[in-house]
Amino acid sequence: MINSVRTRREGLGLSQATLGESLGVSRQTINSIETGKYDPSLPLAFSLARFFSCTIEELFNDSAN
Amino acid sequence: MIQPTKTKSLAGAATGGAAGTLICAILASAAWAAGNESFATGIVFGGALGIAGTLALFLRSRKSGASAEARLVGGTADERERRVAMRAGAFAAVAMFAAAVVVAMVTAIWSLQAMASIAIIMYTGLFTATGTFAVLVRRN
Repeated sequence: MINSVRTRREGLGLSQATLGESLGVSRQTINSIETGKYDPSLPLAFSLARFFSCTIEELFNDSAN
Repeated sequence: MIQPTKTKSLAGAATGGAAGTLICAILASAAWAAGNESFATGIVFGGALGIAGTLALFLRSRKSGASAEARLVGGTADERERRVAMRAGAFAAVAMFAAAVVVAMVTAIWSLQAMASIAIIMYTGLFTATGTFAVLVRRN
């Protein structure tokens, strides 16, 4: 699934490790989400949206489906 | 939904280690009493290796930058790693089923020892689970 996690994270000047630590997941999981290899669970998607102060729809784009 | 897990405490890990040691000791004693000395020796060495490996991973999980395997053992794995672990478990179950079918056929034809049959099935599951997890967690 296409998402804007990397853009938003880099916009805040955060590393994958820092973001992962803030959300309670590993750096590898943040990397997998950013590269579209892993679709997060709904609770993690909500956590990401809350972290970036946006909606899940703004963060994730399911137009490919 | 996959629920978050709590970090395993040292007391919990110690209890698990003690339980594992006890089970190995009982199985080894039973095998020895039944006259399967080599099987008992295998249980002792295999059990000791398994417990030592688990303990090393558990201690590693307490440090920063721990591997996914260590985090899984230490109870600090995140949702992706636990999902991969579930998939690895499913792969292992299928592999063990396939191994059981093959072993049953081999046993019927060449009269394989029961101990060897069990060992083949168990090792198939162990290696499939650990190998699949190691690969999938780095590719997904």
